[in-house]
Amino acid sequence: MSAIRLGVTLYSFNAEYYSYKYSLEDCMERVGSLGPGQGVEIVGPQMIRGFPDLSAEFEHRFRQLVERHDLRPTVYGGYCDAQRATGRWPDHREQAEYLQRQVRAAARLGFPIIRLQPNEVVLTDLVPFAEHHDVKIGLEIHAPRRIEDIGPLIERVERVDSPYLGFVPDCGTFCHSCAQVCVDKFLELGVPESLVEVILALWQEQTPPAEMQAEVSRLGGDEYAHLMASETGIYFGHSEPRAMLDIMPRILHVHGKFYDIADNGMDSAVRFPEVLDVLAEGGFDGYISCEYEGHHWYPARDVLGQIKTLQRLIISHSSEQEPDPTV
Amino acid sequence: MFDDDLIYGSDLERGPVDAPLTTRAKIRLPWYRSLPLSCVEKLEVTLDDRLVPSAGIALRTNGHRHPASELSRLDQVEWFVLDAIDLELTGESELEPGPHRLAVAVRLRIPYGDEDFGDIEFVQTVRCSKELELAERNA
Repeated sequence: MSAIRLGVTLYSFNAEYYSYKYSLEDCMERVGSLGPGQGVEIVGPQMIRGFPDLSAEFEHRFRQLVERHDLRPTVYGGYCDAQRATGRWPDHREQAEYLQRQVRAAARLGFPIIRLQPNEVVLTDLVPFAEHHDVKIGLEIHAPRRIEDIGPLIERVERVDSPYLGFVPDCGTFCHSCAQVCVDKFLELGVPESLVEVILALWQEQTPPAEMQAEVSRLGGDEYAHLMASETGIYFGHSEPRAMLDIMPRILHVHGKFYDIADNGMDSAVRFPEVLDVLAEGGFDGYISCEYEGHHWYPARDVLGQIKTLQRLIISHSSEQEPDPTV
Repeated sequence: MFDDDLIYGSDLERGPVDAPLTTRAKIRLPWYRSLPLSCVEKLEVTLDDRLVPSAGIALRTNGHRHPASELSRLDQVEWFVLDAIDLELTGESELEPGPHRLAVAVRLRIPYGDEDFGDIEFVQTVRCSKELELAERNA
């Protein structure tokens, strides 16, 4: 039986947190309500004032909440933020310091993994530093990037060959369609249904962004039509789930990105059955953190209910599978 | 993201006694996470349909005043995602009490590009317009 473990990213509650409806405490309580042992992932600069530093107050507050709700810290969402200084890239020392502060914060908060993005410092100096603090670096593979497009990066990670450097695939890169919540929003904003259909068809054909925008212009689309063309290209990726088999030993964690979970656990965009099949085949025994992102278009639609349904799908799917020993 | 929340609350406030030409509103960062002030690439403000000159715009965070012209250098100054910070507007005359229409447009540089792994241009432009009330002078 697949040993995949269940968790949640607090980013799922972005709309409620931003609008002051949920505090950090409320978010953690919601995750705890799913049952004992849930994994919890946070976005560092969303929750922690003074990021990339970490105050003693936040450290204690977070650890108490983890204990109170019987949670398991899974991933600290970190950022390279290489474009933070206007008109210049940070030099090597400056970038190393920015990242080291985050690795130390992750370690103090009890996170075994820090999510980061591909960056020269991350792939070199940071690995031994992270190992010293016993925090693994997970490079996120996120839409619109596909696993199929990052061959050189995969080779680089293989050359480093450290258990402290791996990948975090985000399921938003494994889409069968654009999310219904996105489509609904642009219809509401007045994009004609016929033009919406054209954009969706162009997405299915994996039309490059510039060509999609040109076609929208040709058809007289307004700024919302152009925005829809842009956002469908950014958020809904075309990677094949089976591509994960090539990097399975290096997959540290999975982001279970979702947009609209139906009663049967299916998402209107993400290919969850295939993703779960591949993870089981590959013997993945880490966490999958359910991550709602529909709030980009509409405020939360019963986020917790959707997470529960998705987690039921994950459990039922996992119990049917056996890992393939030849993988 | 979060366009309608860019201008926070329903009030304008007067500046301190020694700065009678200053009015303050509160604005929220229209992104899901904190960013440094250097990522505020453009800040355009109209008050009662009149464009406020850039020299008359400042942001105030943690007690420090930052003129709009200096924001680009402030990669060490945080705008925490939950904070409604002061947008300080200095004009040529005192603003009269009563309703005023404030319109703010912010362009954020989302700093996710990388020198070696994808130098992208990722910006978010957010606009919001609200009628705010400035109380009587002694209120």
